[in-house]
Amino acid sequence: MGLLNRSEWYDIARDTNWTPTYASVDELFPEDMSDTFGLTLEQWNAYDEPYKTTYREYVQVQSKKDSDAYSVKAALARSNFYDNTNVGWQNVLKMHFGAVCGLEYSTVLSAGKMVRFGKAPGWRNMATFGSLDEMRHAQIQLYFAHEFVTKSRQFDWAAKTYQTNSWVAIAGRAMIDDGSMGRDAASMSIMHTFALEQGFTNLQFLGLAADATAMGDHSFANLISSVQTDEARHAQIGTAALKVLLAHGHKEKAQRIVDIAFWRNWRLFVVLTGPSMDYFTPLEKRHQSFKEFILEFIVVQFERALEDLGLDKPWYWDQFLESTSVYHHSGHLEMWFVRQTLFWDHKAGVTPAEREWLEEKYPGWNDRWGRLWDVIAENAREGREDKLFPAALPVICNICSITCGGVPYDGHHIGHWSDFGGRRYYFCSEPCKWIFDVEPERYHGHMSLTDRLLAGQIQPATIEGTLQYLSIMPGERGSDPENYAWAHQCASPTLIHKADVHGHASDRL
Amino acid sequence: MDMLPIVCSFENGCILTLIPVPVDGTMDDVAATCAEHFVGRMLPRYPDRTMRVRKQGDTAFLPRDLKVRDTDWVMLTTIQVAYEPQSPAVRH
Repeated sequence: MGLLNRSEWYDIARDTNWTPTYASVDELFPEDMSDTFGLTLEQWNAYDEPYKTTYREYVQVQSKKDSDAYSVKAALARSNFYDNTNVGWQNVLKMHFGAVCGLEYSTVLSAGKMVRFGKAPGWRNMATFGSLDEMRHAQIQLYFAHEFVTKSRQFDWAAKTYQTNSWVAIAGRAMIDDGSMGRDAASMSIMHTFALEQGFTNLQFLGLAADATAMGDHSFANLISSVQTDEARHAQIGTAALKVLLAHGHKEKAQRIVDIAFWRNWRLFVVLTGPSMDYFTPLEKRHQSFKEFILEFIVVQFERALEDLGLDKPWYWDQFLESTSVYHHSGHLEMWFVRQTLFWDHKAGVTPAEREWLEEKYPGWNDRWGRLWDVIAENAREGREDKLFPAALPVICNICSITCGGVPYDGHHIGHWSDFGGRRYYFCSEPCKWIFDVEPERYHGHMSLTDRLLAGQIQPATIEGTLQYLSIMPGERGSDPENYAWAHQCASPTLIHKADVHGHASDRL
Repeated sequence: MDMLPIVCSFENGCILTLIPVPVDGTMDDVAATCAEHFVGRMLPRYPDRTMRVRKQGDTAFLPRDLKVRDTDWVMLTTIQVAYEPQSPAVRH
């Protein structure tokens, strides 16, 4: 017998399967865990993906990636990059590590569920490598973050965010538990690998690595590139699963799952990545706005992926496109206001020059968000510290666990709600309300921070009590990293609205 | 003092906020309580203009001397606070 060529060898490795004899297929692959679409094992045999990874190649490549990332880090360890970099970038790092490391660990289990309950051997093969990828991502990012703990206690949140009641953790858990952990393997492959990884994180990491390079943070750039190349591979799990599901007439359900997942991912993505790109990154290092990035990469790529599969754009696509100009501006302002709840220092990013850039990229920004920042800036200049923090909690969305924020100077922002089981549920947006209304039984028990406050879980029911509940201690709580220096720059009357907090109509000067 | 947590939107603001209001308070008291969370923090103050309250979905403002306990409000009822006589555009 001659040597097998590579493709034959791979097919044996990938397609090795068996017909269960001592247990039924339903026992081995329970519907709720494996496939609520109801395809048979034979139908899943058509599963195919493009990477054809083998263990030998995987180990070689991953080993090299890991070595490269750690080597660059070691080589640059004495450069004092962190101490010398811009305060905005320092806080991009804090936000990234705190928000991402724990989620990476969760997704080890997400891929693991597909390893066990995926009905196609090729799918299980890919998911096995995917699970190892996620373990590497969690560990390497924790390692990199740990270096900075001596610089700021906030980096400790790389390890502990998801062990707390931080609203970021609640939002992250709500998204990951629903789409990446709590569903059957087939649905998870769509929600997690297609809608999240192919839709967002793969491209987000490309952009983040480019930003890191522009900032001169070569250590972080290497780390993120190392992670991104894994994402590009295992993100294909969902596309291959979708092809099988669509070939067997399950477009309607697959479409619904895509629509739910894309919006859920977008809501968390926009409030974290939007401010990083449009407010935290130093002006001279920005090569495009968040909206431009979304339109150029996320939208084009995702539309093409949907079209290639024969899926439609989500029903809320126009709302999504509109939200690329809106959500992160309101979210950024809200987060600055509740900055004590954050494990990073939330840079305002609204100096006159930055506002000019925002107005150029988002025409009308000054007439909407700028007018609010005018009031805030005057309070900061005048030392009215009590006015620079909230005295009450914003209402939190019962799906995405993010604030119900709208567009300022657009009448009243009223949110959306549904009544179910004798109580009212609030939502930030029409798509979040739709997600709830499709399956209220699935979501009605999820308690937002608003619900927890009203249920008496947060004691005392004060701002300090809330901060304690979030597990964010003095010394970790986010602040304005520039100590309001930006507000003093905003005193220039030629660039900003007159900040009128004392009783006269606000004029554009 | 008994308080009722309600959800408030303030004209031209952008954050839906959970605010406890006194059940013995009038609509003027409610407007003032809600304004404390928006006006002077993110929105300009207009002390020469009257703030009015209406229930979400209604076009007419509630009487200024109406007490919370005499309304049909329950926990998480949504209200709007706006300046009179401006008729704010309501976005659904």
